[in-house]
Amino acid sequence: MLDLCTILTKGGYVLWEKKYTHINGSPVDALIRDVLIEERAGITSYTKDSYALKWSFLNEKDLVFVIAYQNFLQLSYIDELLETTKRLFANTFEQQLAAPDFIGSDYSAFDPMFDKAWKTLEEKYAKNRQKAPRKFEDTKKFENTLSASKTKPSAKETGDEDEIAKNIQAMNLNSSPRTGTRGPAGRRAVKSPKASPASSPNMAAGKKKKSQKQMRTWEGSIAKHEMESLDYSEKMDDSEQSEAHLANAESLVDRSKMGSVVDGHYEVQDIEYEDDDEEDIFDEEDDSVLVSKPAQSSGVFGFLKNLTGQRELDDATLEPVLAKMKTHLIDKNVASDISQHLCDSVRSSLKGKKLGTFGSASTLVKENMETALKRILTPKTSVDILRDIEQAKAKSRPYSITFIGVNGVGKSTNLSKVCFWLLQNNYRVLIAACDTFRSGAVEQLRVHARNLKALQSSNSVGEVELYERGYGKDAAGIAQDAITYANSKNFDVVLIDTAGRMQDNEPLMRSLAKLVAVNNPDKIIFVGEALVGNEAVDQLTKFNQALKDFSGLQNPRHIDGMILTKFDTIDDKVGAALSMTYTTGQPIYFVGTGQTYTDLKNLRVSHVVQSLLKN
Amino acid sequence: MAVLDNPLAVPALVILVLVFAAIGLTFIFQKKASNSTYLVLGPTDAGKTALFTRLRYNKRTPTITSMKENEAILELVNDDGTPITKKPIQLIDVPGHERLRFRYTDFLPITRGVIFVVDSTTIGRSARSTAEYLYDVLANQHTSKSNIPILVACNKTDLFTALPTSKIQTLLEAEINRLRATKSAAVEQQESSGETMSEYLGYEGQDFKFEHLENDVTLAGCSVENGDLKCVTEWIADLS
Repeated sequence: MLDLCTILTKGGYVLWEKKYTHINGSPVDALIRDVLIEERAGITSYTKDSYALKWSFLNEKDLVFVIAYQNFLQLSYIDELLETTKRLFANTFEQQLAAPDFIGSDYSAFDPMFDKAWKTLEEKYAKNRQKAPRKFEDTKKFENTLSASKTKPSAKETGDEDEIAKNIQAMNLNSSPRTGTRGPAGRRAVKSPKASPASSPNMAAGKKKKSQKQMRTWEGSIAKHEMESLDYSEKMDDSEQSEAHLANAESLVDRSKMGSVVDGHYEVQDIEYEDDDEEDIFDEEDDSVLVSKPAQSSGVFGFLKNLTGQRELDDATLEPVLAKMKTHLIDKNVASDISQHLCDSVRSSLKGKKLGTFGSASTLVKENMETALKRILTPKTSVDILRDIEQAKAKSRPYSITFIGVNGVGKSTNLSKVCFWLLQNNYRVLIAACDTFRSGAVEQLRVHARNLKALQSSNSVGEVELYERGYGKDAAGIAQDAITYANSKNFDVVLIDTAGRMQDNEPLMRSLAKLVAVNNPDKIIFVGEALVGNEAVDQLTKFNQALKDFSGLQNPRHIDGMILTKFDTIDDKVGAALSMTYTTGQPIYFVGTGQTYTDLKNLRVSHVVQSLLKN
Repeated sequence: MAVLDNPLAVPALVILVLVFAAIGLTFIFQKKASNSTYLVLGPTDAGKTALFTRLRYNKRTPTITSMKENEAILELVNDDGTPITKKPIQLIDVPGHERLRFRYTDFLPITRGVIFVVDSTTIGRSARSTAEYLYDVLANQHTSKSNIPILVACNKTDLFTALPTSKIQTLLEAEINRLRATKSAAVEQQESSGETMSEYLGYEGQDFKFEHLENDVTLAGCSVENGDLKCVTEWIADLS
């Protein structure tokens, strides 16, 4: 039922891959390009053609786990399978992954393990589907095991490494019933405390027998009764009893090398920095932390842990920092949805990362956010309009640019600035006055055209002309006439000025869609104010939607880029630039920075990023 | 002279001098070592990561769009196992996706050479975007200032549809010639105080040719698939 499961590094190697059928195209490439690179990793699934894809990160090693399956299948176990795969892979290849160049190792041995894990999970879900219909929701909690699952490979238990590895191998490969072998499960339960609810939290106690049966083959899932037997929080005073329960586990776990549980996450003990005597003291402390107070780390131990710098970023550490980052971005006028998406994306790429000795979570978040912002703002298509015009010129047809936007953002003003720039580069420009609605719009353009003509030096080849047909006419028709006229008169560029319209005004949006559909301009440029906040997203989505819905074309057009106006008025609150690029995925061609014709600039990504992160 | 009378004075001085010398030497070596970095650049799907794995692990692994740089310090060896460079080189493979490639500028100051990988089979269609990237690399002030040599490795020559190297050179030169005109006419960047970040390539009034550049631009065909990377390894050997 699965089509593809693959494990890749962020660098682009496929470490392990299993194809179950022939794969059409490369859905994983599309996933990376459309979602992961665009900082949209906050979402949880992606559909490409007939495939649905789900993914999960192992940030510590920069690994990405991807599963692709047919879109129409309702596979409820994918999330759990991803997490299981991740854990299994991290455990099995612990040694290989610990090496600095783990890419060169051979991971083909993972094939049977994955198949087995998948089968077990599938059976389990097939059974559970009748019993517990709400199961799927529970599996979402597996998200939280991310950090827990990764504690394993970092364990530097040099002494017992072989033994543990052997045991894990045995567990993975041996599918014999595991009732009674509470030992390994105990370890696991401690390692990933939040993994347990997913297996069977809402199962009645009376169903214990059945759950026992179903979990016997799979080492990653823990049945309810096993969980209960491991939950010593209430019987803490009776340490004898807990000892007895843990007796089996002792063969697998070296108590003296156990880590601690902080905020519900098992943290692997640090590499042996302490003396032996000290270790004993921590041992006891350690155990008590393990069983009794999972919510807080003990003072001395935590302090030492901080010193040795093996802290792992988990939700609890990241949450306050990201919340702060989110407010900061909103303060910079970034739309609130978008700051939320970005923070989610940064979280997903940071969770589980190890923090250096002197590193703080906030610097790491800031660094990550900076890269993310740079990525979003960097154009993914060429912004070289002149080169485009050359190309159109070579085909001897005029290049047309349509300016769209809401009222009063500066469409006509920036159109004339662009016109001035084109004239400087010796192009022959025709301005089409397609704002037939607002009184004075044509006159405004006429003044601009006159000014621009006056600014032209006598020996320049550039030339500007206004194409007007008065008010009240159909804008699409005028634009069409203008382009035909430009073609016959050998103009290089046609700049089409449209009437400003609010994004909710359906009749006007329809007429805009018609203008675009009829004339098919080379570029549709959205002119937006840098002053807008949350509104930016709404405007862009609705304009895009209108172009799509009302066009009646097979391949509807969309906004190709933006001009951000009034940029000189906003100081460092440059959030609109981010909101707009994130919403459309299209570049900002220019920013308008003043009243004169020369106040048209290229957006400097580094400058915007700096302004956004500046306090 | 009282100081020199002390029997410990001379050894102490010698040790002091040696320590300083050692510090100085490590400093110099570090500087040199940092300039043994080679960047692998190029558009997506050209075969950068594959080339990187080939050089690093000498095997062909399936690859996918990179999201992060790959870095490695490696020693290139001949067929007979003798190293071809005096010391190990650092190889950095920078993702080719438009949104991620900006990272290469961070590495340019310590770069000894750039291996610009292009896909010989699709260059006919993607000449413009490829040339734009190459232009950005060439026009970067670090590239021109420190004369960073560039190898345009025309990958995938094993395929039937691959264009010959000479054809690729003509395509790229013609494209850069056009870009040169449009890029220099582009609107200036905001907040830039007049200084130009990029250099004008080649000679004004003449069509652009790679040989007009001060830094060496070499074109060579290679095939990662077949392990035919002689041109790359030889080029690196020549440089170091």
